[in-house]
Amino acid sequence: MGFSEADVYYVARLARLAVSREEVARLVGDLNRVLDYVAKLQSLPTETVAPTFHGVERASAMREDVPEPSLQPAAVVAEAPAARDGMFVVPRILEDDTGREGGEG
Amino acid sequence: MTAGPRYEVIIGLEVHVELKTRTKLFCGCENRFGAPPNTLTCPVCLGLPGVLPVLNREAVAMAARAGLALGCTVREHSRFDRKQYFYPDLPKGYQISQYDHPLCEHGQLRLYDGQGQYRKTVRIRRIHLEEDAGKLNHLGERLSDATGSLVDLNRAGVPLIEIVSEPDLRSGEEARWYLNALRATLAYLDVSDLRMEEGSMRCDANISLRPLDFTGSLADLPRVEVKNLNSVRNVERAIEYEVRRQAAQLSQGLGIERETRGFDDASGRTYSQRSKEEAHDYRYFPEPDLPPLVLTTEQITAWRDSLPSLPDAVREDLTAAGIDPRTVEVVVQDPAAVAYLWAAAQDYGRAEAVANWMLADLARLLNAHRRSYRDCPVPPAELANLLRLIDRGTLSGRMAKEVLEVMFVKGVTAEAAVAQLGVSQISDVDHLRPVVEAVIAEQPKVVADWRAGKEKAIGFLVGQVMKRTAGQANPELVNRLLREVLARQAHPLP
Repeated sequence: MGFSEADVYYVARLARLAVSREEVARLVGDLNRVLDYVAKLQSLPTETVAPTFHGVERASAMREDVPEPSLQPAAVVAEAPAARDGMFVVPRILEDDTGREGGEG
Repeated sequence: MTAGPRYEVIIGLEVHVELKTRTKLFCGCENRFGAPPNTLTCPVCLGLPGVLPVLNREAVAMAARAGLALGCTVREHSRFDRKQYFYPDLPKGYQISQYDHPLCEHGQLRLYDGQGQYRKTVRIRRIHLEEDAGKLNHLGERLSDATGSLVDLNRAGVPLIEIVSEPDLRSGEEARWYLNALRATLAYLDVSDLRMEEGSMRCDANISLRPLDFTGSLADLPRVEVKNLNSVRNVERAIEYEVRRQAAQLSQGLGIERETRGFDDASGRTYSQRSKEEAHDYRYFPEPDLPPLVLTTEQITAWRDSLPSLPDAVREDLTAAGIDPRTVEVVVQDPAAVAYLWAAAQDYGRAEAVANWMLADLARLLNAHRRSYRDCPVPPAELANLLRLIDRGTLSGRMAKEVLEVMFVKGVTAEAAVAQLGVSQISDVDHLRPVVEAVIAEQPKVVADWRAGKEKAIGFLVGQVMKRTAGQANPELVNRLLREVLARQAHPLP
């Protein structure tokens, strides 16, 4: 089972990446080589090997629940393309349309 | 319509609960509601490049204790994963959550109805720890006609637990019992504010109808998820509406679409959010910035051993103290109410009388003044004092209600409130007898009626005595005195 152009466009859209036709052609090849490599790994006998739980072997360090200073409000929005009342301004959200439909179905 | 439903209602709930740690899950910013926008943010929770999350020990402890209280197994090895999606309230473009190795699994919760009757046990599939997103303030009336949004990231990174039930619930009513039981358990642990209206507890409901002749797996049923329900009542309403809607679809031979729906409070209806199916493709993978979370057996055992008394045990104790099951069911929801009740009952002696006063009068005052048993202006010892004044006949029940209100509003003792109101009940026979005699002398016709067998006439005489004593006479005593004096007049002593 290989990676198709449609798969590349789908994942690119999920990640909000613009890809050109030429890039897609190259990515299909690259990604399929990655999958081939994984398939090769899967052919190895691993029944007796304990699963790797995480790429890092150490256990997570934890911090105490003690407050530290936050940033100054002006600094927070200083680099924002647009800000108002100390908040970031973002464009209208088109993705999640909550327009009402279908009452009783 | 053919008689009876031809399907079974299948409901599972996902409940998000904000933990009340002092700081956020992965950074030292304060976890606090209501601060000015973006004043509780730093490079970590703003999602700036080059920073690393560091796990809050207390959040792990709270999540694990919640799991233990709900009968879960706490994993010694769990893991954080990235859940990727794009939304302006999520600055990193992913949420740090737990996917296939959650902190807690396989719990259960016992459900009781409003009468205090055990109804069923619901299995809890998992509880995982994750970070909350920020808050969007939409410009414009509704999201659909908003021109843009303002992003406040104070909430971004606040620790959440997500409690996922198995699809064991069968009605909106059962969902309500489940949420009440869950909220009570978490309240005893004191791990969250649990305010649904402020968003510190939020609920999504998964609802499907299983035709009675359906033999496949539940996972294959088209499931509708109703998101962001902000009160227990609305969870119940949304489920009831969805069941009706889906039943109507099925009865017309139409299919049920797998989708996410919202709930409109005003109309009581759910509506399609038509989010694209791909929005659910979160591309989870292990969070590379956080090593696995490893807990020791000793630590987990210590948490288990330090759990407080939980609702099921407290319910038994309250019932054993002779309190009416329906009253128990209200009190058991609130650990502060339970503590208050035990303190007052120990002082006064009769738990049931204390519970009745708490539910009827104290609860009304607490609601009206937006207070709770945690900061009740009438301490338990003073409620006990008030009840003793009733027992001694100093106060009638009606007077005591007024006295309690003064105690509550002015924060004074029962005795001080009695003095301020000047309401102490006249229970002094020598004081009342002349008044009783005077009323009898002035009302020969009523007296004659009573003697002729009109029992109700005595009530009028009692009323006259009460009037003359400005309502302060003990009405039972007045009634008894009237009968005594009338009897003596009918059969004068030689």
